[in-house]
Amino acid sequence: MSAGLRGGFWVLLPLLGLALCLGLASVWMNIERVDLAYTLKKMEHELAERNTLADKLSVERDNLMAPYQLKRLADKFGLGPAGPGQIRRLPASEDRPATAKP
Amino acid sequence: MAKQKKKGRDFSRFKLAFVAGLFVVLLGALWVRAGYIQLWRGSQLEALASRQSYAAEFERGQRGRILSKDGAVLATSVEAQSVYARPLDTARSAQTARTLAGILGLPEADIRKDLASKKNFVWIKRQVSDAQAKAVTDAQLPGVHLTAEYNRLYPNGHLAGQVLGFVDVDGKGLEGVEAAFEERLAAGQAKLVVQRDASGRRLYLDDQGREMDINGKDVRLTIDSHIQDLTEQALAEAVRKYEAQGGMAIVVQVSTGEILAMANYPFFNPNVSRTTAAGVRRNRAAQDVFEPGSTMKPFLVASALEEKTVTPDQLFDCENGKWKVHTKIVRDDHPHRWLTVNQIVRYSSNIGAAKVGQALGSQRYYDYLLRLGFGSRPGVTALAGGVGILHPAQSWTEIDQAAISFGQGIGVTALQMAKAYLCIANKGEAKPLRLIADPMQDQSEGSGRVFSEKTALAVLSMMREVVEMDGTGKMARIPGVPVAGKTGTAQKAGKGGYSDERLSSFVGLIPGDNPEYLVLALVDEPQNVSYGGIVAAPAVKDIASRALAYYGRLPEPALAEARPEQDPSQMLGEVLPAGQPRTPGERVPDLHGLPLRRAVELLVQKGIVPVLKGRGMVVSGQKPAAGEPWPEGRDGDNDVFVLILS
Repeated sequence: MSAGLRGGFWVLLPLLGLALCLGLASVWMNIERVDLAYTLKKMEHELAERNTLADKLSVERDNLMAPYQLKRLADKFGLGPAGPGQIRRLPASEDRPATAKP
Repeated sequence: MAKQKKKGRDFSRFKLAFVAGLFVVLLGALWVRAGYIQLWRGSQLEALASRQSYAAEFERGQRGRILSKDGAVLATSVEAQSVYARPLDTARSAQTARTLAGILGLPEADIRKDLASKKNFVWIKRQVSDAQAKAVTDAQLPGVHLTAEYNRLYPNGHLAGQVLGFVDVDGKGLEGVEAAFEERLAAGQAKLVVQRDASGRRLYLDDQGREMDINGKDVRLTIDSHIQDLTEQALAEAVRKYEAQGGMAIVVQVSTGEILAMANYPFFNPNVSRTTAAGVRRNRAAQDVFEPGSTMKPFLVASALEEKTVTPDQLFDCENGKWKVHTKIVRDDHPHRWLTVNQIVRYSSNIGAAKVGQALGSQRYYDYLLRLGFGSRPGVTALAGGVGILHPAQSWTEIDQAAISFGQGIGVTALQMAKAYLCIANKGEAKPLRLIADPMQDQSEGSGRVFSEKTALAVLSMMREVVEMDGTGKMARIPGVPVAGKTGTAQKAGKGGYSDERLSSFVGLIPGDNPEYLVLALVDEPQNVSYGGIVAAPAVKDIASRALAYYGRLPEPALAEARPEQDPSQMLGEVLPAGQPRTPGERVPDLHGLPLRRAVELLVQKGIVPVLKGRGMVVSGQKPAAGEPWPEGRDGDNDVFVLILS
């Protein structure tokens, strides 16, 4: 084998090694990508379910806090709209002592 | 040996060449095949592979919410499951139908008919409950599937139901705010490319198409959920108490023109829109046209004052409650003889109003009505308000003019009425009504000065007398808070004329001296009692006092008790300036502002027994006027000397 050919072989060998490594890295990354996509899909599904549940619970809370529901409860406990003299005004500042007008 | 050697010829080189050639051919064939596949059929095969491993997927967003001014969610969308079937894939249809009927509460025959269909896809039931969806999943019925859809929910039930409107099963707005803001609220749709694995699972391998916002945008109303609720409660109480057909109420914040509440009774719950009659779903406060009756009188008086055709204390002969205009008789429920203009408003005299209307003239009154917004849409975004009925002034007969002066022969909507009163409450400057807080609407239309501030304040003062003095709206008084208002009891049109049914109404401005809130209530066809001052005024009082309590602005009892009736002795000090007559002179003195006892003493010294009109302890008007010669008569016959009290 001539010196020229031998020199070419030693140049080609690392290039082939590099190509092989790159190929393996590409395959590994693709596997990871698909794996991540599965995880992502699962998490998105879970997030969507939780969001839906949160939405439903919000609707339920809004329904329970609806004025007509509060009125029903107020009637049950003997409460009603405030009349003159039944409103207490608390001071805006915390350092001032609270005063209540009868 | 040599022959044998010759026979044993070495073919190895030939064999090597053959094998090498074979390899070259095979390799060449492979290259050719690869080239054929890559270059010749490459794009076609690539398309086939993509079709197998990639799929297009549509993703629908969530419809926008409708919020109240105070942040309460009035309408929202929540994911719900819908059940569908692929009839060709279903096995044992009868058993499947029976199972589904039991879970979904549908007739078995209907489901069986659906499953017998030749179609590839049929809905079984849309937007089922979570429990039903789980039961369907657990049943594992072949050919029966679930898919996610959005279901529109209204957490507050009937609260502002007619204002909100409703959507169809596909989530498209059909009425009210839902329809008016369909474009903004509607959810978008995104097309996504996803990769499929061998088992058909779909994977998002990039975010292509997912970065766009496909959710609908929210709409915020000016409606305050608490004010809306207390308005609905008060309205419902009034309608039920008087066994009426229905009712409407509107609350407006004067400074901003924001509609804080708009109630219609019977209530409409948009959650069950499909089972509700169309008449109940209609926003009657915005659309229904009615003859308003006496609630129109303040506009007439304001127009007449603005045009200087009358003065507040000008006397009008109210004909003892019966006046013939051509062939028609105009009547007052409570007969009066001489009334000043402010008393015409206070006692709601139809005859007095008709005479003020005569003095003003039909064209001028018509022009003012147009400027107040009657005869045109109120221009409130999201409300398809009615135009009402207002014929051109040229077509008014003398009877029409008289009738329109006291609010008959003209058709208005409650929304138009609220807009017109907003002008009075806003010191004569018209202001557009607003229902939508976000997105901000450009509503410069319908604004501008209609009456001078002086005129508006004069009318406001007259409306205070309606409530605070002995007027028709006494039942709207709120201790500690001055209230201005006007009652209305309109006859309703029936077959061939007016029927016996009435529309009772009351418009209140609170506080009466510098209005911050406008409250309007109408009760349709109340039974037994029909006066607006009895039927609708208490509803307005309830709404206003509860709203003030909600805002923490109900006055303390000490202040409330200090207001009601003024002490006459104090009034004497207030109203009797220096230089008032102590003895009768050659001509009629100015008795305006004198205590009743002092005025009577003066007249008796002259031998005159005055006729008293109205109630109260202070003289607010007189006839003959100050400076005129003393009248000839010496007793109360023919109203020789009339003292108007307040």
